[in-house]
Amino acid sequence: MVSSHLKKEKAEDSSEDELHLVDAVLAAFCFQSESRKLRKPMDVQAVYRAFAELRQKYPAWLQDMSFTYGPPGTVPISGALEDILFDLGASGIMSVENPRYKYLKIPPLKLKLIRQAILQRRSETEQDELRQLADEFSEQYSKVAEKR
Amino acid sequence: MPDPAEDFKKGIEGFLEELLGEYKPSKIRADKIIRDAILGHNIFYRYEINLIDSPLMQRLRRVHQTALAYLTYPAATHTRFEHSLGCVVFAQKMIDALNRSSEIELIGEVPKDEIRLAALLHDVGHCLFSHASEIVYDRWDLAGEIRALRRANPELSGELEGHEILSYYIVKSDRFKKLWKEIITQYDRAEGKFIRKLRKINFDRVANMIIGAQAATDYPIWQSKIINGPFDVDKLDYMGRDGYFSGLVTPIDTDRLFVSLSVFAPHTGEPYMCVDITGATVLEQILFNKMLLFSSVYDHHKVRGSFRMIASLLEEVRSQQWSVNGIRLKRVVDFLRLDEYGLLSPKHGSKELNARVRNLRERILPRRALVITPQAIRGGISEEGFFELGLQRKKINGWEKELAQKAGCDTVFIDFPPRPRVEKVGEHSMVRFSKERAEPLSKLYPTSGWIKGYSEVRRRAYVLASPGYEQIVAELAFKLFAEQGIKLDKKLCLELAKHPKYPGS
Repeated sequence: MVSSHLKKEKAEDSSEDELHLVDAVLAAFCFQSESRKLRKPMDVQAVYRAFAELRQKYPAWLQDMSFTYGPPGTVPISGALEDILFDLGASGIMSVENPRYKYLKIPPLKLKLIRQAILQRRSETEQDELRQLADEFSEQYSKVAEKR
Repeated sequence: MPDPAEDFKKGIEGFLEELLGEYKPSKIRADKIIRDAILGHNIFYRYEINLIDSPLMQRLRRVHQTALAYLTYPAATHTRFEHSLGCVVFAQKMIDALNRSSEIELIGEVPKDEIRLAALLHDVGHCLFSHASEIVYDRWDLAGEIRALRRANPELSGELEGHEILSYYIVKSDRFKKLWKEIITQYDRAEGKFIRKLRKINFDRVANMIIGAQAATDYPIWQSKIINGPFDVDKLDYMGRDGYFSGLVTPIDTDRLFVSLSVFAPHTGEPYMCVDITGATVLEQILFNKMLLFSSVYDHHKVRGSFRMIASLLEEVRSQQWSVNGIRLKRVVDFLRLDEYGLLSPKHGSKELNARVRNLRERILPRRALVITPQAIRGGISEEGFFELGLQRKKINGWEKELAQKAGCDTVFIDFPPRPRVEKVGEHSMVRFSKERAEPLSKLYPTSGWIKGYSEVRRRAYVLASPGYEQIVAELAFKLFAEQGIKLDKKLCLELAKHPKYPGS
C-alpha cells in the first residue's frame, strides 16, 4: 500500500486490484488540491459520513465499501473502511489515541510517503480520478463536520 | 446477461431438494424442553421441533462453531446447532423484556414467532467449518459469485457476511416454504387455531430479519435488530458459548441487559431498541469479551494454523476439482453440500487430498516460525506497509509458495488474522439517558476506541511452517522480507515465536 516496495502490478479488472479501495481511502487523505486541504486532525465520524456520501458518486473506486446505517443521528459504519483505518493505526501511519479516540492524525511526512506510493502505482487517468475524489471528499467532510 | 440472483436461487433450490427430498415431517404431540449446557432448560414449540428435526437444522450439528479450534481447546466442539437453539432462548428473553418494558405489547404473537424462527434459522447458511470455509467462498470469492450477488441486490449491499446471504436465500426459497407447508399439514384440523397461527408466519419476513433489514413495511426495524443488530441474540449466545467451551471466562450479564432494554421513539425517525444507562456496562462486557475471544481463542496461533489449513485445503479442492464424497466445489452452493465429516474422512480418491486430510485428523498443524508485531518492524519506509500486506493475497500466496519451495516443506502460511469488528456495538448501540434522550454508546465511553487501540497493539502476523521446518523457514522469511525492503527485529520475532534457543520459550 503506502510503501514504495509495494509497487502495484497493474490489474485489468478493478475487482482483481487488491489495493483499489485502500488507494481510494488513502488518496482522499493526501490528494486534495491546495485550496481544499483539510485541517488536521480530522473527526473520525465525519470521515465515515463523508465516505458514505461519496460512495454513490464514485462506485468505480468505492463500490466495495458498503455501509450499515443505525438509528437516526448515528454514524454509518463500514467494515471495509474500518479495516483500512485499523491497519493504518497498527502500522503507525495514523493515530487516534487522543483522549476520546475522536480525531485521526496522519503526520505530514507520512502523507507525503503515501502520496508518492500511490503516484508510483496508479496511472495518470487513475490519479486524476483520485484527485477529484479527494477534493469531493474534502467538500463532503467539511459539510458534515460543520453540521456537527 | 444472466441474473446472478436468479442463478443463485436455482442453486439453493437444488441443494434444498437434495437435502430435504426424502424428509417427511411428523406430528409432534407437545412442545419440548431441551436442556443446554449453558442456558439450562428451555421450551421449544412443536413446529420449531419439526424444523429442528429436519435435515436442514440437523446439518448444523456437522458444522463446528469455531471450526477446528477444538484441536487447541479440546472442549470447543460445540456446533452451529446448539448455538442456533441458544439464540432462540435469548430471542424469547429479549421479546419478554421488551414487552415488559412497555405498557402496550410491543411484539405481538406473529412477530414473536417469526423472531424466534429467525433466531433458529439465522445460521442455516453456514457451511463446513463455519468462517473457515466462508473466507474461501466469500472473502476470496474467486468466481465473484457473492460479489455479483451483492451488487445485483440492493438489500444485500450492507455489511453482510456470506453465510448470512446464504441463510437469507434458504429461508426465502420455495423448497423451504414447501417444507413449512408439509409441517403445517401434520397438525389436525381440530387444532384450527394453532394452524391459523402457523399460517400467518411469513418466511420472507423471517429472511429479512436474518439480514437485519425491516421485515415488512408494518414491522418496525428494531425488531429485526434482535436478530442482526449491535447487541443481537447471536452475540449474546456465541460469546458465552465460545468462551465457555474454550475454557475462557467471558460472561455477559444478560439478566441486567434484559431489565434495561426498551424501545425509544425519537421525535423524528424510526424507533429503536436501547439500553438504559444503568445497564450500559453490559454493552461494554460485549465489547471486551469480543476482544478477549479474538486475542485468546480465534487468533491463537494454532487456531489460525488450523483455520488456514482448512481454507487452503478447500481452495485446493476447488481448484483441483477433487471429488469429496461425490461433491466438487464448483459454486458457492457446493460448500453447503459438503460436510465436515465428509471432508475429514480418511479415504478419498486423491492421495494428495488424503495426505492433507491426515494432517488435520492427526493434528499435524503448522508451527510458528516467526511472530511479527508492530514493534518488530524496524526502520525505513517498510514499516508503514507491513500490515497492508495481508490485503494482498496474491502477493502473499506467491511468497508462501516461494518459502515452502525453498525450505522443501509442504506448508508455509504468512497469516494476518483479521481484527475484531466492534464498531457496530460502539456506534449503533443506543444508551438511554432519560425519557427524552438516547445516545450511541461511543458518546458515553470511547470503548470502541479503547478496543481498537488494544487490538492495534495486539496486532500480529504469523509465519507458520510445517513441523520441523520452523528454523529454516524463519531464516528464509527474514531474507525474503529484507529483499522486499522490510526490516524486522529478528530477536523479537524469534522470541515471540518461542524458538528453543531463547530462554523462557
